[in-house]
Amino acid sequence: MEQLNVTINGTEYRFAREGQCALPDTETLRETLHDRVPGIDLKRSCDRGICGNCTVLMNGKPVSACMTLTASCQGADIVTWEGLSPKEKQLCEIFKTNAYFGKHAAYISVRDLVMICIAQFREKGSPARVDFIEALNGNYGHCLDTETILELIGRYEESLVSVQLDGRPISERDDLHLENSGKVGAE
Amino acid sequence: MKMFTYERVKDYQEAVEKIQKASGQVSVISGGTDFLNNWKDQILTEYPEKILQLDQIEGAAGIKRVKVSAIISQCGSLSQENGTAWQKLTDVSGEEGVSSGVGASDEDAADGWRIGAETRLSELASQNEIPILAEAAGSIANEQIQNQATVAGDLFQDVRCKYYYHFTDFMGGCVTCNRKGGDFCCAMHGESPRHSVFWRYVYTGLTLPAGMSAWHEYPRLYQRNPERKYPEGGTDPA
Repeated sequence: MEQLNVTINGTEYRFAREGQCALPDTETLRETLHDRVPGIDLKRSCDRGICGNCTVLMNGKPVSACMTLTASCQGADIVTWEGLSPKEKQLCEIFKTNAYFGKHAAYISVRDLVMICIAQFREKGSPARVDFIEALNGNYGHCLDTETILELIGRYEESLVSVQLDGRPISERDDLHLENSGKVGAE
Repeated sequence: MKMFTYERVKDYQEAVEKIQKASGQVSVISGGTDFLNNWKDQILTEYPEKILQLDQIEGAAGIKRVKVSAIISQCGSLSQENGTAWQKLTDVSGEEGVSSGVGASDEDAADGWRIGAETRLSELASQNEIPILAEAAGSIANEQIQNQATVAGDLFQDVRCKYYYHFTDFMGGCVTCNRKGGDFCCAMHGESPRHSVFWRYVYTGLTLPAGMSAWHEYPRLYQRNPERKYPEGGTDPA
């Protein structure tokens, strides 16, 4: 029986391609992740590959899940927002809590920014500023300018350094940036 | 939405055989981002029953240095020989030509580049030795789309006309214009001529800045309406 093998967030899934509950050929990856895989929340946003809300990492590269057919993902390794490591989730928190435009919080998804930044970190280790600027080109519809995004990435890198220094897990710390800057001032 | 069946081929020969054997209409995609948009918006009049994806064909992706002058000198003048010259060019630059030493990737003798049809746009964008093409590919859409879309798919993408992309859902339904089997062009007679980048006064709303696919479409459109009357000042490209 023909099957579709996909690794999603480290777990291997097998979808039937024949029979009564077969996965249709027309189904996109966003629909599959949202409807069939438990624990993944990937709502439909524009569904045209414009907004970047459904960005996932396929084999380490960011792609739009709404513009990918699931049938074409044979053997692919897919990582969603939910499958990031605790360290990488800290970048999500920094973006969520600091994505302000003037007084107003930017209540829009920053998933594409986070996923693209994490793809850069995973690929290059410590990417340069130019790498981020080039990779984020076309994703600036978030009321966030380049300097703000780079500043938030800088905070994330600072938090990584401080974790390596004192060894405490990142989830036990409330405000890494303030704590870190306080230490620097005391010294 | 009309459903389709999906298949991925590993070989050009296999793709040709499957297209010949198929009963209904078959569409060929490489990245698929352009086709999926048209399919979801329901802007077309005819939909394919089968989809063949070509992006995993062996040897079709990749950028390498080749000796272009040898290929061109064998082909002679492109303008004099017309169609046969292009056939020769593809024959010589193919795998057989590489093995016989004509298009071999010899670093010293190489004076040109060979870009595979199924090369992803992100791969071309990171090729710093061809700066103008890298910049052009890097300016397309965003990082996610560049990782999916291919060079051939970009050149053969559908027209970018506002009337052509008129949705079915509201305001009168999709427009059956010249490009979809009709006999009129909204970009020519509509409220705004700016939808047409090339050949506004000719007869079709070719709004695609990638000129290769525009030229590819001319013979087909010309045969469809051979006695078409052009507006004043218009010229016939054929």
